[in-house]
Amino acid sequence: MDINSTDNIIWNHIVDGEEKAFEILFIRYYPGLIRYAKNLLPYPSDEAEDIITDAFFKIWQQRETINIHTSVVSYLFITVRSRIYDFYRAKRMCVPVEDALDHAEPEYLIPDNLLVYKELCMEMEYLISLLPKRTRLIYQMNRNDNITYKDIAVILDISVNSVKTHMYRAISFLKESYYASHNNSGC
Amino acid sequence: MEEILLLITRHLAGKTSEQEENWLRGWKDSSSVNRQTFEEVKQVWLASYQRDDTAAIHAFQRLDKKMQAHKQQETCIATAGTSPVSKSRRFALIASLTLIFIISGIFYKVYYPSEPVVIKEFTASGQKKEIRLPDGTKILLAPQSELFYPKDFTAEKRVVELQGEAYFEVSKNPHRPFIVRTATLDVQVLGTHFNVNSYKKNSITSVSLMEGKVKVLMAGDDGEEYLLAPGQELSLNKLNHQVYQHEFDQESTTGWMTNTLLIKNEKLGQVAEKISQLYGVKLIFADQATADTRLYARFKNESLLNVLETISATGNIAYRIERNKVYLTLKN
Repeated sequence: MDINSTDNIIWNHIVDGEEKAFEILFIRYYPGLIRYAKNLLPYPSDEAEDIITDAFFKIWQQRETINIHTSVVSYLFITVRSRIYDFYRAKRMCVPVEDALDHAEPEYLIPDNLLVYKELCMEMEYLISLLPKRTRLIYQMNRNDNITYKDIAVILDISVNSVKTHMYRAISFLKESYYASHNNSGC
Repeated sequence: MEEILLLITRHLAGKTSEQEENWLRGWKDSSSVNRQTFEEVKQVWLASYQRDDTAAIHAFQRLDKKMQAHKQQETCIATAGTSPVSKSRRFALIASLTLIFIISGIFYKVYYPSEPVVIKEFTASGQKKEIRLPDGTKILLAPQSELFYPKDFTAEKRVVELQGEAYFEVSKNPHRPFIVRTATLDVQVLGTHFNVNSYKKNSITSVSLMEGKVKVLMAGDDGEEYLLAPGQELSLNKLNHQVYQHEFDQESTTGWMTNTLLIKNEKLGQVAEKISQLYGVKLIFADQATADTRLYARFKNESLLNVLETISATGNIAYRIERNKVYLTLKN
């Protein structure tokens, strides 16, 4: 087992009590889980770190009894999500309706918007920040955390087609605006 | 088109089947427009990778401490609660167990000093915190910084861990050296006033000495040592491991303590980090020319708006605030 092993192989080693495997899994998904948690938590929030570390601590303690039916990554994300809902309940706050975001027509990136940014040489980081929240989350899960469309669909409880639509919108917006800004201003 | 763009990204992520690979190769070779599209998607895919594992590594260290502490407890409980007992002997058993616990507790304390309780203090952007350690040391923690210290120091030394920036007034105790540990170096002190700047996102870690004497020990195997005299600063560049020892400007180093922002012919891009620490905003520059604008300015306890107004007036720069982001661009 090494850092390139698949989640399933790593999980088997975790069940056997190998702390190194646990560390690999933690580091592999922590940045993505933090991003996801911050998306769900009231802004700004410092709770994300604690919620995720606690979730992993629990997983380690119960590793022998945990039964994963879907995939390791979706299990992690869904565990973190339900802990965030617990957090909301404990604070007596309303849980944000994240699904409403998805069923609503995604914000369109109007051509006019593209023109505004045309004159600037923009950093990719900035362009990513312009993506609609949900599209950005999905793009980053796929790009940075290497999560498959299918697992993203399971985690966010949407269809694979919907994930693909978000991915397509993200990549085509980034491509268009990146090249629009870079070709015109000569940078 | 949708399928093709996604297919290219999956190819780049190594998630395509052999059949898809063949198809994609054929598509790419069939026209120069296709090849262009492929290259563009590839550039975007490569440029849009944003990943930084340092926070994850740190978080795991904290989790690991918790796991190890828990493991010790578990083994303790496991050895205590074995073998079934008859009712008549319960009292004797409880009594002897209590005795064993007390004795083992004493032995444990003597032979294995228990895992020290670590206290974490942290600050958000625009926030400062004054911390008093049990030995009387005074620490002022700069914005967006973390300090870890044990509830009780050991007999031999006083060790604290810093991420970010802080000013220290260490109470004198030559027999118990005070050590500030950062990711890149250790600062060893006998009793003195100094500032340590070790933000993860900065490539430079610096130690500035106001009073007394400190010894700076580089992290790593060779562990080079440097002695600093008052008024001297040591900076370490994490990227090329270069060490510089030089005089420093006290006001600009410790300005954060009095909410003073000093810009001395520095590029805006260089002061962006300071502004974001002080005001909790992110600065985004339209282009390199904007980031390279040099300025002289001195702000003390000014609001963000005043700071931006001054910068825009002196640097001929337009700004726009959106939530917690400030977009800056040169005026034509």
